[in-house]
Amino acid sequence: MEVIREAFLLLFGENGELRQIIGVTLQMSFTSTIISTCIGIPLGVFIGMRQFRGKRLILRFTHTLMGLPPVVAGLLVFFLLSRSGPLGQYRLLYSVTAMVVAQVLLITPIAVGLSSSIVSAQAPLMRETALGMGLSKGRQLLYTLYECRRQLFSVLFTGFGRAISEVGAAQLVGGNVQYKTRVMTTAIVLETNKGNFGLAVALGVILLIIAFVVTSVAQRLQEGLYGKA
Amino acid sequence: MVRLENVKKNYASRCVLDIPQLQLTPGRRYALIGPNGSGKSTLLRLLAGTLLPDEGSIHIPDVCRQSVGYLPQKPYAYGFSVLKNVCIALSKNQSSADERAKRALDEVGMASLLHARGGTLSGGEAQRMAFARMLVQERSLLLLDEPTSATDIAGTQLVEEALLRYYKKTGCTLLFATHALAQAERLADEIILLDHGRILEFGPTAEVLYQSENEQARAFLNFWQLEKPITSN
Repeated sequence: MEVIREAFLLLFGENGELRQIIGVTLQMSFTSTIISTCIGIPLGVFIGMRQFRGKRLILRFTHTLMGLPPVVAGLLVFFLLSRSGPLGQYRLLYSVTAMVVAQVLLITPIAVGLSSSIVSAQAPLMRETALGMGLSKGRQLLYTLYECRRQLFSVLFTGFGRAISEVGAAQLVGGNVQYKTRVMTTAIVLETNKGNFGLAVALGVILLIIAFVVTSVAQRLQEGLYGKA
Repeated sequence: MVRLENVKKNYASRCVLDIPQLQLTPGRRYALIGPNGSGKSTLLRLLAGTLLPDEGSIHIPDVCRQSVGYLPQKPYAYGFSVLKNVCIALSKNQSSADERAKRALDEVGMASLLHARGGTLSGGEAQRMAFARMLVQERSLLLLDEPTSATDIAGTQLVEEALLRYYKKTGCTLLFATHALAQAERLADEIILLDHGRILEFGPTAEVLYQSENEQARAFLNFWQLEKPITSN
């Protein structure tokens, strides 16, 4: 109970830094989820619907990347954005943008893998039916997206869940800079290292509350758009 | 004329279809019979173009190719209403699409389910709805894969009657797979009996069903006894 009370005090008290951390967390999570799903879902749908040479290899590669360790993704982005790296001139390291890039690298394979699995489970049956009716490829795609809309929407939840809970890459490329790139997860690690376990747990509770609120709102939106499952 | 020459199809290393030659005369009704795994669905899929042969060639006249209708064994029922499920088979420009769809659904006894969601239908209802979807389109080659495998007796009768009306109206070439030999006898002019991907018998319905001299064919036909007494065509 003490932890919950502390969490609420932190959330609604006078500590402006926490609200700033929450803001950065949400900004990073939302941006990276939207970018990743905008890339990953169309790609996944394409892979799921079509039969082509090399599809199995691509899927194997995607499934491997779905388990990409965040620190490895962070390291990759770190090398890309560091001063001596190919994109060093843009001076993006230790910025929210760098964190978003790392998150996109992590979430996009998940969006691709999940979307292709969702679509490929239904695609053969739908394809056969659609071809039997002589439907155009455009209409086939349209109806496939319609039929899989709920499951594809859930890819957004999964992506957001990964983004908001990730710590390794955010720490590496964000640097956990106070008032700039500190997010909930890196703040938790910091407080734990400092020995402030109570505060760390309180921050963890707040993180869970945020995830719960965002997911609930998104679920209501999904039900409003597509009806209850 | 639809013609198959030296057509072979393998799944993994298993040969599921091996047809040296087959010709379908326009305007005739053909029943495909044979045990499970004999290649009936594969043959229909090859003709529909949803599968490609590994060897050989399939000749379908251009006029025909544009209007091949294919009803798979497990047709997909989209999540929207039954009426819309049928309407999607018609192009948006076609006038009175709703009326045509309603008429087709009425023919197969689905008039009371116009606004039911596709996903809520039973297997037999979904099959009849998919069949109605075929009826609204004018096809010159109609390929049906066990169109009544999930329907009850009344539903089967409605589908068969609707199919015969459609055939008389369009004069299409009809090729359907079935396990019900009585149905093949009722609907088909000719029968193609497949086993292990090869044609065992091909000829007029009565000849194949009652006068076959092929031992394997006889064994199959005796095993799958006819559901009703022998009647001449």
